[in-house]
Amino acid sequence: MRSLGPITALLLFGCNFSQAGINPTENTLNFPMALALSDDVDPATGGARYLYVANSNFDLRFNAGSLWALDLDAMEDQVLAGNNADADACPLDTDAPNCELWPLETFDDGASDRPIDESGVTNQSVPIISQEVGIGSHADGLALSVRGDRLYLPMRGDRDLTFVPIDQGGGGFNCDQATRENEGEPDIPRCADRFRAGHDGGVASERELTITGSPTDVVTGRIVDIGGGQEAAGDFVLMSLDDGRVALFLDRHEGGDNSPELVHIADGFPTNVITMAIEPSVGIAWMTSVGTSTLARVGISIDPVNPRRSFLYNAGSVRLGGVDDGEDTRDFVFHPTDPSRAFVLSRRPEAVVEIAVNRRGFTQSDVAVVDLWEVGAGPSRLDVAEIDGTTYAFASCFDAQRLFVIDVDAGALIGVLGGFSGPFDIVVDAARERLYMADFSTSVIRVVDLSALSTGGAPRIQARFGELRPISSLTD
Amino acid sequence: MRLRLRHLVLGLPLGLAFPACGGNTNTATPVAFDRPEDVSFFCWNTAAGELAPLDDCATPAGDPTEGNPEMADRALFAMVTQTTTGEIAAVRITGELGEPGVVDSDVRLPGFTFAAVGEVPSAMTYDFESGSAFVVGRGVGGELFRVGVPSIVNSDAQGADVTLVKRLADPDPVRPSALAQVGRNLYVTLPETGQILRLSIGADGSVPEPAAEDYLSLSAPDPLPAQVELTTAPSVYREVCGGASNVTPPLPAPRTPVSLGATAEPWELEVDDLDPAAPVLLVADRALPIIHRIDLTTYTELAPLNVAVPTRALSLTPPVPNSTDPAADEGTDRYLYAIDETDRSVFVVHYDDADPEFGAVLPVSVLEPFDRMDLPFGARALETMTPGYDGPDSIAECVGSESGPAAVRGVFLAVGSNDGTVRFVDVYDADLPCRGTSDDCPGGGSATAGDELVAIARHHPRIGTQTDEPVTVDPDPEWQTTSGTVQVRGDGTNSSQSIAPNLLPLECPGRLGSVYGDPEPLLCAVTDPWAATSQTWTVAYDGTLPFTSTTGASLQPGTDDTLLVLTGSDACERGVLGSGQVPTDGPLAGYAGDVVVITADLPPSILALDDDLRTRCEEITARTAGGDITPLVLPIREAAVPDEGDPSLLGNVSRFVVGPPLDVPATVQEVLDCYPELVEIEVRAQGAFVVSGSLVGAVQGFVHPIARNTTTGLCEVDADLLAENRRGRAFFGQEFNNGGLAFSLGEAPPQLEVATLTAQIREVPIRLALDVSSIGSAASTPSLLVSLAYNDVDERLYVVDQAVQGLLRVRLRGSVAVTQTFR
Repeated sequence: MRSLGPITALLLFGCNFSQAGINPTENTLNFPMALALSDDVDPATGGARYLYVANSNFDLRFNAGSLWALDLDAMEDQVLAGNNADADACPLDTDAPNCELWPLETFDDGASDRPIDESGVTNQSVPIISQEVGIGSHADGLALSVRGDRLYLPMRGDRDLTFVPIDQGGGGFNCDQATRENEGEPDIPRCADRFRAGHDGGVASERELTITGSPTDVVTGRIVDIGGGQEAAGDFVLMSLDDGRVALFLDRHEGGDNSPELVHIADGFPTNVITMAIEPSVGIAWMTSVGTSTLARVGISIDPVNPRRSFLYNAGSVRLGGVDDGEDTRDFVFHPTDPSRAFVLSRRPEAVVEIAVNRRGFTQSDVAVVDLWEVGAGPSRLDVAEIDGTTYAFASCFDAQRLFVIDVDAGALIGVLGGFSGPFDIVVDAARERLYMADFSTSVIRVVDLSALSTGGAPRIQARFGELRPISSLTD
Repeated sequence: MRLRLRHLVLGLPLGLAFPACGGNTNTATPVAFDRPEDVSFFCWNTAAGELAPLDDCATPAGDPTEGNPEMADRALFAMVTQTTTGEIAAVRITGELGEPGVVDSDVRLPGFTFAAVGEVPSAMTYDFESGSAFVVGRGVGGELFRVGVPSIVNSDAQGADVTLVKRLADPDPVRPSALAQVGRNLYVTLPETGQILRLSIGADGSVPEPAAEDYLSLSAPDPLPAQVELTTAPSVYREVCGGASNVTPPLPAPRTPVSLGATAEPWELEVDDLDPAAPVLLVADRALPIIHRIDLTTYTELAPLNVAVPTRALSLTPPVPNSTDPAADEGTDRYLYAIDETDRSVFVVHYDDADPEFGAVLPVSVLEPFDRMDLPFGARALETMTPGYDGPDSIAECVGSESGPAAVRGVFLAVGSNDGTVRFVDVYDADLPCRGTSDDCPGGGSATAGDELVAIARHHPRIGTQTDEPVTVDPDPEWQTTSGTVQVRGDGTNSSQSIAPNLLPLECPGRLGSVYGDPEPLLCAVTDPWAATSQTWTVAYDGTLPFTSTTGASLQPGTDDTLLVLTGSDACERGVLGSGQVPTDGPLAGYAGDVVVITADLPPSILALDDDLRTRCEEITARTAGGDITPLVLPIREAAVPDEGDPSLLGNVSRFVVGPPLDVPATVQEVLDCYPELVEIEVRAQGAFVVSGSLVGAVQGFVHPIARNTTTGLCEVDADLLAENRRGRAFFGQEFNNGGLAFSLGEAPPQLEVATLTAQIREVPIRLALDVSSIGSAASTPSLLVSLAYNDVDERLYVVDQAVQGLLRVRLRGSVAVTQTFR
């Protein structure tokens, strides 16, 4: 992530690596890096019940990162109620697992009409943080299994794949979490070590594989959907590594809590892979990367007889040719209803590029470019969603500190939303007409209301979840 | 002269004009723009401190330089919309008021302040009478703003005068995309409602509330009006001399109309005001395959033009002479250029309503598609430029020393492409009479030295460099054999005829010309100056079909004595042909079918064994003492792309039914046993030559006749494709032609070795192009072109690059060059 390089250098300059570090403070967002929506939906709205947030602990302020499940119904209640409780109402030394009065600032015009009690706290507040568990530092991605029962995180700090089973309701984690004993300071419950796959010594693969590079992203899907045969249960998990390799895990948990097994690592892909995206119904993942105009593709071939002999293979790369110059791509999203179309978030040029997946461009190695729309400086993450019958692309732009909104059907940029500090990962809940954004620089989650899009209006920031903590305050 | 590049890149002039400065002081100007998009112009009277008619800033005709003393008290300005910030900025381009540059509209604030006009401003126009700029945006409510232009010009400005005129989104949500002014009316596109909105402008810039009749709903005719079909080749403005090939584009067949929606979706506007008393508004429709025409005197829709595809941009030329000879009077024509919404290609429509061909899409290329300009990448913007041209009766005579391929005087089209390059297209070259030193060229002895071959044709990309050689093969073609390189002589023979075949003379077919052979052609290729491509053709015996190599093939049991080979790529698209689908007649009759070749070593799971299976597998692969293996060759009996989801595919795309290995005594079961894991394979021809070019396209790449049978899924020879010269494979004793390359092979030599003929097509004329990404910097910066605007007042092209360069001012006459950038 190019934009964060200088910050990294700044933050690591004064680190003392010999100490054990500070335990994570409960209910504290710390450089949220990745988001995912739960599979479990609210029957009333059709929207996701939970938002999962991976706190990267990017500045190594704590000795661990954390994974959160946020109750979106509760958040919605507070947003609608206009809860604007201040930070003091949620003491950090509370023993309560859920902070009932999480500071939530709204920009709702009706704020002055909210019922406020004498302490200045709304009477209608409800828990938002459903659960929080400690994980390693520097989670670079977050993927939810198709069945919605596991989360996978590529951990750059530990060079492993962390997996976290989710309870049936979707709002709790089952990773044998426990607080550390005898540390003499407060701590958050942490996932047990056995929920880290691919780690040294933790591999059961007959191929004796070792992960050497740093994980950068993770995607998952069902084995049965990519040729594993009807008998094949479980998921495949692909984890990209920054040394040009991709690791294949098979997670045949079948309802248990077995560890995903690392079965193959393929090499020869671009270094500096940023993100991956699974082509629907095809065992091929597309990858974005920095420093090359190549969109690499890794294929999965499942051996239905002996899954441990399954392989990754180089499915052939295509070049993002015909643009100037396509040598820095940051995200890749397939069209939500038409898998022959996909969108690439490019930094050279800074644009959302629509491609025709199965068509070729000027040369046989070029993918066909259908359209491209400008976005702001430092485009970082992309999501595409259909809202009220119209397909929109949303691009977070870290350096521009803005969110760009493109009406894909109309083929035009239609909105630019500011007010962010470090917009990074985004997810769109089309049913709720909400966009959730990890505002990396200030360690908050932003809630963007998309409902006005269908009436020709513009999205607006509706709420900020978390206490603003600008990077500059880290040295305080 | 060796021409190694297809496109002339004009990035250096600015770099030379602004070399890196010495010293330690950082004098870089901070970037002021934030995603500029649209541009408009106005003239400022610096002495009076007021607006002046735009013509007051005109550069004297024929003088491409700055500094006209008569303009001492005039300054040319541009206004540029800023997408990200929702502003319009003023840019001082010329004049004595101060240094050219971006204008800060509020000097009290740090940094650059511009006029805030709402979210995502998309289009702008300038009204001199009221001194206002009008801006519409795609953001909230589709707002129309008025900006008092003087308020953003004055150097002591203290904030812009901006007024919200109207929310166009009331009551329906709309996001206007284009704005045009004709007389005292503004015309706004409303794509969501399929309407054009007319708004009148008061003398003070006020805009009264529109009436119901000001909303003009565009038609969606059903049935569509008939396409105008050409029965004869249209008049051709073309000058090809000095040895260049002269090929006329064939008439295109009418296209089947394509619609991207059921109702009109107006997107961009172009005004036809040739008759000021009866202006016509042309509307590009992104949904319907028609171009709407609106009579602005009655504000009613005229019969639309059926162009078979939706369009996203238009550009109209003035009348231009039909003859290349200025003394000849062959009348004039007008043309309407458009960007095809379906693929961003560019086409041209005959636009002279006094002509029966009015509305016809014209042939512009000798290669398919004949009705699309040969531009490599999708177009984002179009603009007609008329430097030094004020109608057919006012063309100044050319001057030889000022004429050349990079000089643009007359009428031209500029096309901004996805790749950040501006390309130029000839419409009428006023300097043509001075071009070409050869006797058959109009320039004769007056042309600049070195300007030998001339190729100028209407609607064709402009050739941008002097050339002195026609398209040819360079170096001479040669055979690569296992024994070494064998040169092909001019008569087709070679020095090792026992191992490499001869080339036989042939008559170049169709639109191909000779590129090698003396005295008779041996190799024929596309020699048309605009259609030729610098690329390398290979003719490989038993060669690999391009893009069939994979490391992820899976072997599965078949029926009888066969194996199934499953791969993830589309075999029919790649041109694979099994022996069972070889036709009984035609050039492929008798072909043995392609083969699958296992090129990889035995898999780790076999090599890890220490038993009879490993021993047997190593026998089959004939492992040598050095560890090398002999690839297994499996004849393809059937190649197919079954329906998606076929369970036998195991998630793959294609399936080959193959027989036992050739030349190796082994069963299919043994092969299966030896390769229990994914395997590396490729598909090769068998006893035939694979002919492929290094690029892809109509006559490039591996041009084959194989297509998927939609009923059976089998890869079969498509008779229609074969009839289009998509031969793919060449055979001994046959003449080969794939539309891009033609040759005739002699009989097989007695001791044939695996041989590959290589022919590199060179000396392709370089086209005039402006690579925005290479301007003013040694390092390439990304560019994203968004709009082009020709300013008749200073005869400059303005290019807006959203990525890095901002607003570029491009000189046209003399030689195309960027002279200023504003960002």
